Amino acid sequence: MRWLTLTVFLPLLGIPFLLIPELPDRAARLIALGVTIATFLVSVGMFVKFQKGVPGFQLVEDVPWFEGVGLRYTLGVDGVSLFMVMLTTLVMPVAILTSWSVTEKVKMYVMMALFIEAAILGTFLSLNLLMFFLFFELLLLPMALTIGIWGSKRRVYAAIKFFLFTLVGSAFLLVGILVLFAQSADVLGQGTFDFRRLQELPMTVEVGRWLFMAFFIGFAVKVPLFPLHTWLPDAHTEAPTKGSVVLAALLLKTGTYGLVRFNLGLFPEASDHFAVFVSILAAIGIVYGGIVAIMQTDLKRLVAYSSISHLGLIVIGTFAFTEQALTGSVLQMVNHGLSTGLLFIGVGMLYERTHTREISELGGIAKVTPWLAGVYLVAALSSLGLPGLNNFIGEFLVIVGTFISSHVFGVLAAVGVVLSAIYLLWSYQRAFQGDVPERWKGIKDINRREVLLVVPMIAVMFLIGLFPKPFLDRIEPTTNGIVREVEAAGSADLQTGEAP
Amino acid sequence: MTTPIGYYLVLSGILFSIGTVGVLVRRNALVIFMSIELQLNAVNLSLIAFSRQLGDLQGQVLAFFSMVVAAAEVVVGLAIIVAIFRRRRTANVDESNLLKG
Amino acid sequence: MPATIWLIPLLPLAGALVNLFFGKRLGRYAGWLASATVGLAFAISLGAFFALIRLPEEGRELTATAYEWITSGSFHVAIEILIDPLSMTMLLVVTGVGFLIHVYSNGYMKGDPRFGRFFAYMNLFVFFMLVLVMADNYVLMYVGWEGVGLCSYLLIGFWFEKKAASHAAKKAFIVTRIGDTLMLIGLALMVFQFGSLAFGDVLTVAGVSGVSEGTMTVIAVLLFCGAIGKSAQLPLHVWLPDAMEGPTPVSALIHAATMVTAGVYLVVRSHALFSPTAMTVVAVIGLASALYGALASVGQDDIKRALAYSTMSQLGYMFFAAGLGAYSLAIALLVVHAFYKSLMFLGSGSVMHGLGGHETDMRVMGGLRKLMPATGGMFVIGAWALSGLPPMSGFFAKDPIISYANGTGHVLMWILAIAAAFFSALYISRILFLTFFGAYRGDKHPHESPKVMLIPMGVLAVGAAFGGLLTLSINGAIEHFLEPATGALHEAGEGLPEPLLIAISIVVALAGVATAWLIWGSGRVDWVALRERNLPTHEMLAHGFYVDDAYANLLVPTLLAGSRFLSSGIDSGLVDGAVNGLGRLTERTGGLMRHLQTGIVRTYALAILVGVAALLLILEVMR
Repeated sequence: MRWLTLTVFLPLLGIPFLLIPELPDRAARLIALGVTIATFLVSVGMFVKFQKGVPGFQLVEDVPWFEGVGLRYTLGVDGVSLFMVMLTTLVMPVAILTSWSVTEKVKMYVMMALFIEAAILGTFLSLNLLMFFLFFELLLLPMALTIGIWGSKRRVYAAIKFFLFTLVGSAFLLVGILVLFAQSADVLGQGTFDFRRLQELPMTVEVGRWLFMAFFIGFAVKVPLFPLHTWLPDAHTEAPTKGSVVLAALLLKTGTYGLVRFNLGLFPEASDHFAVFVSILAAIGIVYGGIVAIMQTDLKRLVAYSSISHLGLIVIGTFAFTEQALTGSVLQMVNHGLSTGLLFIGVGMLYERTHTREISELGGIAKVTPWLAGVYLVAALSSLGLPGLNNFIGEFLVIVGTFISSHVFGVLAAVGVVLSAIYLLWSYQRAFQGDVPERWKGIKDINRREVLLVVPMIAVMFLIGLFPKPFLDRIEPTTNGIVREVEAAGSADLQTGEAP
Repeated sequence: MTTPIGYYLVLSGILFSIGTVGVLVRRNALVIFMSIELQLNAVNLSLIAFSRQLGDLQGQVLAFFSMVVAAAEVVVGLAIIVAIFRRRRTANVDESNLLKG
Repeated sequence: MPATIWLIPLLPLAGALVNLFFGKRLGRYAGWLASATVGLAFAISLGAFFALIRLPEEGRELTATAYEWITSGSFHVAIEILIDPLSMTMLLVVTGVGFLIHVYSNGYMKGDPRFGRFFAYMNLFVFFMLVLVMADNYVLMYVGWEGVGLCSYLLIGFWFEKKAASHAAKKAFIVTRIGDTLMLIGLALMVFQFGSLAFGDVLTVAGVSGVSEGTMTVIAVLLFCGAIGKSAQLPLHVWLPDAMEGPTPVSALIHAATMVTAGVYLVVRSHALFSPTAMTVVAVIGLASALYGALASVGQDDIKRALAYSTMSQLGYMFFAAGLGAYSLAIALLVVHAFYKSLMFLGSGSVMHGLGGHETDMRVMGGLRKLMPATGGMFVIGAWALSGLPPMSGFFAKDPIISYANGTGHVLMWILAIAAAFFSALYISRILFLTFFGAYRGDKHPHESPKVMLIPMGVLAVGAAFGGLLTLSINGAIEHFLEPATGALHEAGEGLPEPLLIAISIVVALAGVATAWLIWGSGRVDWVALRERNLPTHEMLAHGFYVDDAYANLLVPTLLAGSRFLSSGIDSGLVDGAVNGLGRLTERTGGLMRHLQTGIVRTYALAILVGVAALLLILEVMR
C-alpha cells in the first residue's frame, strides 16, 4: 500500500465534493473535517508501518515522472519527517474545527485548508528536490489567500508581506536547487534532483558553502530567523485563527525541517563551517524575540514573538551537532506546533467572545470562563517549558545538548526559559486575572465543539511530556546519522587544515 | 535540379518583412492578425527550406508544430477580437489601451 | 513494599484530578477527599518508614523504577524513586504536615466559591512535592521542583481577582524561575561532566571523578542558585513576602513547611558536589539571609509578612548549617521548623478567620489571647519554639547549629548567628505581643475558630513542643537516622565549652524576648511614638532594606524600557522599517517605469522588433 501517496493526496480528494454547487456551509465544514480526520487515520497507518530504530528512509515510493529534467516522483519518510507529518495531520482537523466561526466564503476557506495540508505533507515527504520545491511553493498561495481574504484589519498588507518575504527566500532556494542539479549533471553525467543521490554528490568546499547560503536564506525566512522575521508578527496577527494555527504549528516547521533535512543533510561541511554564525542569529532570536514579546499589547503579536524566540531555540539546537540537541530540536518542532497552536486557539476563542485581542481591554476573564482560562494556561505553561508537559523534554534536550557543544550558546538558550515565563505569565495576569470589567460578565465558557478541539492537543502534549520515549526512539536513528555526517565533515576539515 | 536555398530564404525574408511592417503600421486588429500569420509562415518556410537542405526531418516537424500552435492561436485571437468588437464596435487597436501604466 | 510506595505520590495526584474536574459537584466533600488522600499517603509513608528502619543501616534504601523516560544517545533518565533516610524524613514532613493543613483548610476555606479548585491545587502541590523529594535523579527532581513552583503560582494567585494576588503569583514564579534556570544550566554542566543526572551516578563519583574543583564549585553554586530562588534567600527572596497574598493554609504548607525547604533538601542531597568554596557561599548567603530576614521581620505590621521574613531567616539558618557541613542539623531544623512555623501560620489564619477573613494588620489586633484562647495558647508554643528557648523544639534544633558554628572557628559567623538569634527572639515575641497581648485595638468582634481548624493546630503544637525529642539521644536520633544520606556529623573542632554556648544562646534569646516585652508587650513604651521618632529606620526595615524597591524601580523598568526600545525602536523602526523601505523603493521605481507602458499594441511590437535587432547586432559584434 502506498501509504505516503495516500497521506499526501487524500486531503485533495475532498475538493471535488466542495465544488458541488449550493453545498451548505455546514456540510462543507463537515466534509473538510472528515477528510482531514481520514488523513490523520492514514498517517497513523503510516506511523504503525514505520519501523523504529532504523535509520534512513522508509516506505519509499520512487516512480519515474519526467526523467529528462531529473524529476522523479519520490516520497519517503524518516525519523525527522515522521513526526512532522503526524503533527500536520493532527493539527489540521483541529484547525478546521476552529473554522466553525468563519461565516464568509466557507467553502473556499476550507478548500484552502485542504490545499495547505496536501502541500505541507508533500513538503515533508518529498525526496526529490524539485518536487519538494513545488510543494514548498504550492503552500504559499492558499496561505496568503487565507490571510488576505479572511484576516482582520490590515490583512492585505500582511498577506503581501508574507508572500513577498517567502518568495524572495524561495528564489534563493530555487537557484540553489538548480545549481545543485547542474553540479550533479557535471559529476554524474546525468542531472538529478534525488535527495539521496545528491547526498553522495562530491563537491568542493567553496561550492558547498555557497549552496548552503542559498538554501539557508530560503529556509531562514520561513523559520524565521532574526532579522528576516518581521513578516511573522503581521501575518500571525492578521490571519484568522486557523491561519495563525497553521502558520505557527506547521508552516514555520517547513523552514526548520528544511534546515535539518537539506542544509545539514546535503552540506555537512558548510553546516559545520557556518554553525557559529547561524547559532548567533538563533541566539539573538531567542533573546530578542523574548524581550520584544514582553511589551506587546496584542495577544496574538505576543505569541508571534514568542514563536520567534522558540524557533531560535530549535535552530540553535539544530546547529549544535550533538545527538541530544538535534533530537531535542526535532521533538521541539512538534512541541512548538502543539503549544503555540493551542495558544493561538486560546486567543482565537477569546477573540470570538470579546472581539478584541488588546491585553489592556481584557482582564478578569478567568472568573467568567474558568475552563477557557485553563486551556490558555496549560498552553502557556507548556510553552514556558513546565516539566511534565511536552516542551520541557525538547527544551531540556536542546539546552543540555547545546551546552555540551558550546557553553555560551547553551546558556543563551536557557535565557529563553526565563523570558518565556515573564511574557506569558504577565500577559496571562493582565488578560485573565484581576477584576472582570462589566462588559465581559456575559461571555460564555468553552462549548462542546471547542472541547473537542483542544482535548486532542492537550492529550498529545501530556503524552509527549510523560512518555517521550516512543518519539525519541523514532527520531534518534535519523538525527544520529545526521550528526555523525556533520562531525565527520567537520573533522575532515581539521585534518586538511581548513578552519572549521 | 533543386532550387538553391537562398531563394527560399530571400522569399521568407521578404514575407517576414511585409508581415512586420503590416503589424507596425496597420491599426485594424484583423489585418495585424493576418500580418502575424504572414510572419509565422515566413518562418515556417525557412524552417522547411533548411530541413530539406540538411536532410533532417526535425525542421518539418517543427513547422507542423508551429502551424498547429498558430491555428490554436488564431482561434483564441479571433475570439478576443470579436469580443472586443462586440463591446466597442471597433477593431482599431490604438483605441484599446487598457494596459496603459 | 516497593510497588506500594508509588501510591504515596499517586494518591494526592488522583485526588487533584478528581477535584479539578468534579470539585464543584463534590461540594464540601472535596476537602475531605483531598485530606484523605494526603492522610493515606502519610500512612503509607509511615509504613515505608518502618520498612526502612528494619533494613540494615548500610543499605537503607527503597527504590522503584517505573519506566525509561528520556533517552538520547548515552543519556538516560528514568522515572524512578528513591526512599532513603533523607527523603523519608521529607516524606513524613510533607505528608504529615500536609495532611494537617488540608484538614485545617476544610474550615478555613469553607464557603469559598472555588472550594474544590483549592483542594485540587493543594493535592497537586503535595504530589509535586513528593516527586521532588522522592526522585532518584535530578531531572525528575526538577519536575517536582517546577511543579511545586506552578502550584505555588496557582495558589498564591488563588484569589486572582485581587490585583495584588495575581501580581504576587506571577512575581513568585518569575523570580524563582531565574534561580531554576541557573540550576538547569548547572544540570547541563553536570551532564557535560558526568554524562548522567542519576543521583547514583553523579553523587557517588563526584569526589573521585577527576572533575576539577573549579568546575565542581560552578556546578554546586549553580544548583545553589536554584535553592536561593526556591527558598527565598538573598538576593532572590523578594517574592516570599508578597506570596502571603495567597490563602493562609497555602502560606503554611508551601511557604513555610515544605516548598521553600526544597532548597535545603537540594543542598543536603547534593552535598557531595559542594566544594569548600561552594560551601562557604552557601554558609554566607544563609547567614546573611538569616540576619536580613530577622531584621526585616521586626519592621512588618502585617502578621503574615512578618512570618514570611521569619521563614526566610530560619531557612537562612538551615543553609548556614548546611554550608558549615552540618547537614543533619540543617534537616533537623527543617523538620521542627515545619512544625512551629506552619503552626504559627495556621494561628495567624485562625486570627484572620476570627477577625472576619482578611485582616492581617497587627496594629489593629492585640489582646486576642483572651478572645481566642486556644489559638493564642498554641501561638505561644510556636513562638516559644522559634525563639530558641528550652524546652521547646526550636532550642534543640537551632542551638546545635550555633554551637557547631562556634566549633568550626568562624568566629565572625558565630557572632552574626548569635545576633540573628537575638533578633529572631525579638521579632517573634513582637508578633506574639502585638497580636495576643495588651488590649484589643481593633473594632471587629473576634471569635475563636472551629474545631476543624484548632485540632490540626493542636497536633502541630505538640510537634513544636516536643519535636526536640527527635534530636535527643546520645548522638542525636534524627542525625543518626540521616547518617546514610548525609554522612556522619563531623566533629566541629574545639570551641567554647558546650554549657557556656548553651548559656549564651539562652541569655541572648531571653534578651530578645525581654526587649520585645519592654517595647510591645509591657505597655510602658509607646511603640507608635517610638516608630515615629525613628521613622527612617523603621521604613528601612519595613521595606526590607529597599531590595524589592530597587528591583521594582530599577531592574523592572530597565527591562521594560529595553523591551519597548527593541519593540518599537529596533523591530518596528529599524528591521521592519528596512523592509517597508524596500517595498516603497520598489513602488517608486515602478511608478517611474510605468510610463513606458503606453498600452498601445503597436508600440510594443516596435519595441520587440528593436529589441531583437539589438540582440542580433550584439551577438554579431561579439562573434
